[in-house]
Amino acid sequence: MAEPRKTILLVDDEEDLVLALNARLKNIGYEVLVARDGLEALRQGRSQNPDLIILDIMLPKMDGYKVCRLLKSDKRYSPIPILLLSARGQDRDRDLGKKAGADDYLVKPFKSEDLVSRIKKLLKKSKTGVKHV
Amino acid sequence: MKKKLLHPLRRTLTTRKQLTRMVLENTLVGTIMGTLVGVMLRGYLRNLGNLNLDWVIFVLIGLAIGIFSGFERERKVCLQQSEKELVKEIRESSKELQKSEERFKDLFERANDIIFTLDTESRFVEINSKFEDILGYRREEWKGRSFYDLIVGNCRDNAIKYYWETLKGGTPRFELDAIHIRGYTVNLALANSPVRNPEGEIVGVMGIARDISESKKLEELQNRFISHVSHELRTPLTAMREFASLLIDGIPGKLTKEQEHYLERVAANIDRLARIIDNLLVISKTEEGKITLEKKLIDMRELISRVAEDFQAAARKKGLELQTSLPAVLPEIYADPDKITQVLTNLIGNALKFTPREGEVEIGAQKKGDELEIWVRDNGIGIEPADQEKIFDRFQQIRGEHQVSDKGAGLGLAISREMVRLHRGRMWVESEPGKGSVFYFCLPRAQAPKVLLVDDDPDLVEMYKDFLEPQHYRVYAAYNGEEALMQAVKEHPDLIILDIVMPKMNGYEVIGRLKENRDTCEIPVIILTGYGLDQERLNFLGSRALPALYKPINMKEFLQAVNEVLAAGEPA
Repeated sequence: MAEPRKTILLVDDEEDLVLALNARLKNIGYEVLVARDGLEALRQGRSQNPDLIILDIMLPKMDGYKVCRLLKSDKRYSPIPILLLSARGQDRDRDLGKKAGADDYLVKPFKSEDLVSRIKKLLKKSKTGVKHV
Repeated sequence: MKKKLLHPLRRTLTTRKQLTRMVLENTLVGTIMGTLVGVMLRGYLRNLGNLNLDWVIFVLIGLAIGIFSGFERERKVCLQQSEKELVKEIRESSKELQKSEERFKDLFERANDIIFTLDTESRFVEINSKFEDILGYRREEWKGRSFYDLIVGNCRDNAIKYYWETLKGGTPRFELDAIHIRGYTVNLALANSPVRNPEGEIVGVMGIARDISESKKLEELQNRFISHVSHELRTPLTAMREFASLLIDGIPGKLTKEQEHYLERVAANIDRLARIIDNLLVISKTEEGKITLEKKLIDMRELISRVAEDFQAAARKKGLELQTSLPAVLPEIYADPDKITQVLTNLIGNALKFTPREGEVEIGAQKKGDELEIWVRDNGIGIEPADQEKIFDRFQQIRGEHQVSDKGAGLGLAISREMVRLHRGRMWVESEPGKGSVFYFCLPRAQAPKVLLVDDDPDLVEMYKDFLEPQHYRVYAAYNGEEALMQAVKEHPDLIILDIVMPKMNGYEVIGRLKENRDTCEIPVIILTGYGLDQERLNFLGSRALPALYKPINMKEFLQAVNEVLAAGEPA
C-alpha cells in the first residue's frame, strides 16, 4: 500500500451495524471514522475531510438526506462521494436520495460484497475526478 | 297499469246480453219507422213504377237502420263507460306516482351519501341534504353553481375528465377531494352516471359521493405502519447479515468447513427474510394501487439477454443449462424495465429452483399479433393441473414430495402476474407433472406516442422535431393557435408541447380552448416559455400546475419532461 490509506466516515446510529462494518472496512485497509447522528456526521464531514461517507438515512438529530444536501451544496465538500444506506427500499426514497445529491444508494440489508464493490467504485471515480483543492 | 286500463273496455264488450237487447230494441223501432215511411210514400213511389216488393224493401231498410243505430248506441255507452274508468285510473295512478315520488324524495334526502345532478354546463341542479352534513354548505347556495368550484385544485383535472366521460355515456368511479366550508379537505369516492331525457339523449350527470375521509386516514396510517415495520425489520437483519459475512470471510479467524457452511445457511436465510419483506411491501402497494410504472421504449432482446446472463452463474452451480431463444428482431415494447426485469427474475429463479440437476431452462420471446410473448420453459417437476391457477394466488405454495430448500413466501408469482397485468398483459402457465412447465406472459406492442409541437418559430419546431423523432415519437407540428386546435382534434395527440407567446392566439388561450372541448380536455400539455408563467391564469383555466420549460430549452430536460408526462399519462 504505497498511497496513503483512504478514510471513510461511517454514519449510523445502529451500534451493531457500526461494529460489524467497522471490522469489515478496517480489514480491507481503510481508516474508519464513526458518527452516530446527523449533526455529528456534518461536523466530521466538514472537519475530517474523509474520502468517502457512508450515510444512513434515519438518524437522530438530523436525517441523512439533509446531511447529504448540506454537504453537497457546499463547494468545499461536494466532491466527497456519499453512499446512502436506506432501510426503506421504496422508489420514493431512492428518488429523494438522488435529489439530495447522493452518489450511490444501497438498501438494507445489503450483501457485504455489494457494499465493498460500490465503495471501491466511488473511490476510484473521485480519484480520477477533481479532488479537494 | 296497462292491464288495468284495458279492463273497462273489455268489460263493456263482453256484456253480449245487453248488446243483443239494444240491437233488438232498435231493430223493432227502425222497422216500424221504415214501414210508416213506406206507407206514407207509397203513392209517390208507385208513380215511379215499383211493384209488389216495396213492403219487403221498407221492412229491410227499417231493419238495417235499427241494427246500425243499435250498434251506434252500444258504442257510445262503451266509450262513456271507459272514459269514466280512465279518469278514475288516471286519478289513482297519479296518486300512486305522487306516492312513489315522495318515497323517492325520501330516499334521496335520507341517503347516507351525497346525491346530486348536474346540467350539461357542470352546474348543480338537485342536491340532497347529506351535502350540507358532509361539506357544511347550504345546498340552496350551490344550485346553479359549477361543481368544479367545490373541488380541490389538483383534483380539478380529474373532475373535468370524468364529467366529460359521463356526458359521453360512461359511468366512471373515481376519487376527488372537495373543500369543506371550514377549509379542510374531504375525500370523496364518486360514482357518476348520465341523466337521460325520455328521448334517450344525455342531458346531465348524476353523481353519488361517499365521504371516505375516515378510511383514507386509516389507509395512510396502515401505509406508515408498513413502512415503519419494514424499516424496523431490516435494521437488525442488516447487522446480522454483516456479522455473518464477517465470520464467513474469516476476518476474526479461520473457520472449519462445517462452520463456514452453517454460517452460509444463516446468511441465505437472512437474504430470504429480506426478500419476503420486500415482497410484502410490494404486495401492500399493489393492493392500494400505488405502483407507478415508469414506462420507456425497451428492447426486449437486450433485457432478456441481460437477465439471463445474471443467472448463468447460479445455473452452472446447479449443473443446469440456461439458454435463450430469441429471434433477430423483436418488436419494441413500452414498459417499465425494472418491473419487467423483476418478473423475469422471478420466473427464471423459480425455473432454476424447481428443475433438478442436469435439467434445462430456456427463455424465449416471439412476436404474436399485436403482442410480444415471452416464456420461461423448464423440464423440472411440473405442476398438477389442479394447482396451475392456484400458484398465482398469494401465499400459495404447492407442498408436495419435492421440498425445495430455498423457499420464498409464495408471493413471487402473485406479484409477477400483477406487474404484467399493470402493463395490460397476461400471464399463464402450461405444465405437465414430471415433464416441466412453461410460464408465459404477453405484453402489448408499443404504439409510438403522438406529440403535437406548437410554436410560431418554424426553426424551433424543426429542431424539436429532429430531436424527438429519433426517440420513436410520431411528431406533428402546428405554427399557430388555430392550427394547434385543429390538429389536436384531428390527431388526438398523447402530448402537446405549447409555446406561450404566439401571435393572434397565445398559449393560454389555446389551453382554455383545449379544456373546453371534451375531445381535447384530457390531453396533457407541456408549456414552453421565454418569460415567466401566469400560474393564476392557468389555475383559472382549470389546470393543475403544468410542467413548464424555459427557453432556451435544455434538450435533456426537454426529453425528460416529455418522457415523464407520457409515462404518467399511461393509465395503470
